[in-house]
Amino acid sequence: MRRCLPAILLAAAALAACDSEPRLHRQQHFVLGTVVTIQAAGVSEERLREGAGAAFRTMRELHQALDPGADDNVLARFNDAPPGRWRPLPEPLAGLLPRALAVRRATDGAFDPTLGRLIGLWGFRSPPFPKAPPARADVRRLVKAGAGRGRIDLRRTQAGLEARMEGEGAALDLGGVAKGYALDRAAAVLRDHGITDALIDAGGDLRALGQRGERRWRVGIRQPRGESALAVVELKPGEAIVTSGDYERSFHHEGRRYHHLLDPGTGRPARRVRSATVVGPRATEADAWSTALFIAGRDGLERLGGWGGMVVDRAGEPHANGRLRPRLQWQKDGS
Amino acid sequence: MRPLATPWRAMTPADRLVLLLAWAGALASLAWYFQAPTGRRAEVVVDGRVVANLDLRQERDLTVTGAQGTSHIRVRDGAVRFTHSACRAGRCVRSGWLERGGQTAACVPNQVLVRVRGPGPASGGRRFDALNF
Repeated sequence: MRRCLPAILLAAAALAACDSEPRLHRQQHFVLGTVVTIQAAGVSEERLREGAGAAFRTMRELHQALDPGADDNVLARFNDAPPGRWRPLPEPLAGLLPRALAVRRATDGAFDPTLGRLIGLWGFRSPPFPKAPPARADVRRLVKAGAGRGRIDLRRTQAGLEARMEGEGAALDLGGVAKGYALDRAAAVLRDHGITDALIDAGGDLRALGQRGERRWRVGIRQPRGESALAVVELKPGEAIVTSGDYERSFHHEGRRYHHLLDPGTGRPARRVRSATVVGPRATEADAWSTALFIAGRDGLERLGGWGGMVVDRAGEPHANGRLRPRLQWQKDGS
Repeated sequence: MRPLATPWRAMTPADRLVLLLAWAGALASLAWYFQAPTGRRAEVVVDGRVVANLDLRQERDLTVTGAQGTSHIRVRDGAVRFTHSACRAGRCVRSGWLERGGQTAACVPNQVLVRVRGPGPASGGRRFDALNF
């Protein structure tokens, strides 16, 4: 037996090397106006089906409440109230609006949740998108009337949180933060169902839970002008990564690209960068900060504080801040 | 105790056979791991319901009706793709051929999704688990 020991030890080591790939299961659903994919490691298919089903239901409820294209939902009722009047904030607005306003303050308005009427004027709410931009005079009129600069006050009463919005041109549109909020809520639902290692992909915006077996979840960051990956980053447990790009929700007119990321100062598509990526511990704020970073451009990288950030400028050159740069694995072949 | 510095000479022929078999198994597993498996079947999902289960070894052209109209799906040479769909962006068609386990293409406006069954990341055998965009 002692003579077999070296062979047994070597064989055991060789076989152990083969046992590092976890079993993954995946669930997909059309929700939030995109395909949401949840993949999980270390759970049974049945448990993931249950947990993912609950997460999809939560996301669908959030979408129904906050869809800016709906005639009668929580958001529409808030926007229909006369300007300047205090109105109660039901969920999910009560949970989301204070966080959106906090990012608005931190970014000096580069992220702004009151662009609703402007987004409607541009026709970016849902496809098919228009073939030409709106008249400049119409855009200027809405900006002057408060679109993108609508004042919102919050107060807490015995009945709960209330809000007051001023500016005839202002209307809430939480499209720049709602998908991130839905990711965070979905992550909480999965945890409640005992799923601790998962990656939630809501049409390219992602939130990690735990890790993928022995390693962290790896995410490719897409080239703005291609389908391949520019770089790969490993997400820490709980982290989110969100990118805002001019290639989503866009149309071309007379050789120029018009996209949905409107500069609150001008009411027109921001043109400083092609894409802006933010990595951090919460998808809600990562979503809003990525919009703000897109508007602010490269200068915005220094204002992200503890969040990792990267922009791809108009020449296609990537620039990352000190938090994200050491974590990026650049992809030469993009696969 | 016998030193481990020269284990090969210390082994019996049976020991050596066990060791060689173990290493051969390990190398075969690694080769299998790094070559992302090709899927044999694909599912077509419309509005959350699996409406077709495709054998990728059999040529087939399929038309399904989604929320906005029809989507055309083609199976050739072990792969599947959208060839046309009732959407303006056409991203589903540009996704091209899908052949590896886990690869997915979707026409979101028409609520039609094609995914290749089998193991593999959602990104379809690439060096990451998902693509951020």
